[in-house]
Amino acid sequence: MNAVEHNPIEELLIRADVCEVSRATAWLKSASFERGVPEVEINRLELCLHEVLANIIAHGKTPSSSIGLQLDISRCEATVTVSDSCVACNPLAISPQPIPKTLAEANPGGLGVLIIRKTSDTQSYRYHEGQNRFTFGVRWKTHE
Amino acid sequence: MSTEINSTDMSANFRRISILGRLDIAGSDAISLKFAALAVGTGRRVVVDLSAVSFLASIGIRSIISNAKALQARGGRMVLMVGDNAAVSKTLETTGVDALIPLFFSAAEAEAAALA
Repeated sequence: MNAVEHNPIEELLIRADVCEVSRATAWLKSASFERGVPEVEINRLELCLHEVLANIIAHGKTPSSSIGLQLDISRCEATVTVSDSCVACNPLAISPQPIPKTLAEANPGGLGVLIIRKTSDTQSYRYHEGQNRFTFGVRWKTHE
Repeated sequence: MSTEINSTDMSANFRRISILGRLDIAGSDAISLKFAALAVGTGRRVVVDLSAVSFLASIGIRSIISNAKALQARGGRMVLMVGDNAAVSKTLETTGVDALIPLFFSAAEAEAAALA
């Protein structure tokens, strides 16, 4: 199910600019906290959102592009959909770089996608009507 | 919250670098030049204390790896110390950095490893 196609509880539009990343993560943390998302899950969402935005801004930026954010929260799941009109790019299609055996072999970059994949519980991507739509989510157990 | 970086020279060739705050895009950018300057040095041993880092993103990891590589290329060694910072240690383990740069949970262990 793509939760954001129903009724996202919060939406935010930002410029595709590095200066906007902190505003986006602050919005996500505040909105998630107010709706009772556990702190550890908020931290996971924040890290993923930071990496998604960093990738879009670094690799898909155009001067006037904006980025839409949608947050949806159910009883034990929170999802964030990031939409942009930059060049089509499916982060899930990017092959992780080989794990280096030594520090000398290590490539300092390319870790953002790996972090998203390993930090979130769900990821999906589609390109529709000129827009990239990447959704990631976290799930948690309830004690009820 | 601003990001800060401080250093203490424990001996002529042994330095502790402490980073406080967020290593996100803005925070990493704010300290990148100073971090590189503090970490460089022929044969230097460096402990990077990340215990007070409240957020670690890939750009922060990139900075750590770059400086560790540069230091190693000059015959030095960098180790990381995270204390009880579970979020930072998790991110380092998730990205496999702990297999490239030794990671310790106590200052004593980190210092011993740096000097070994």
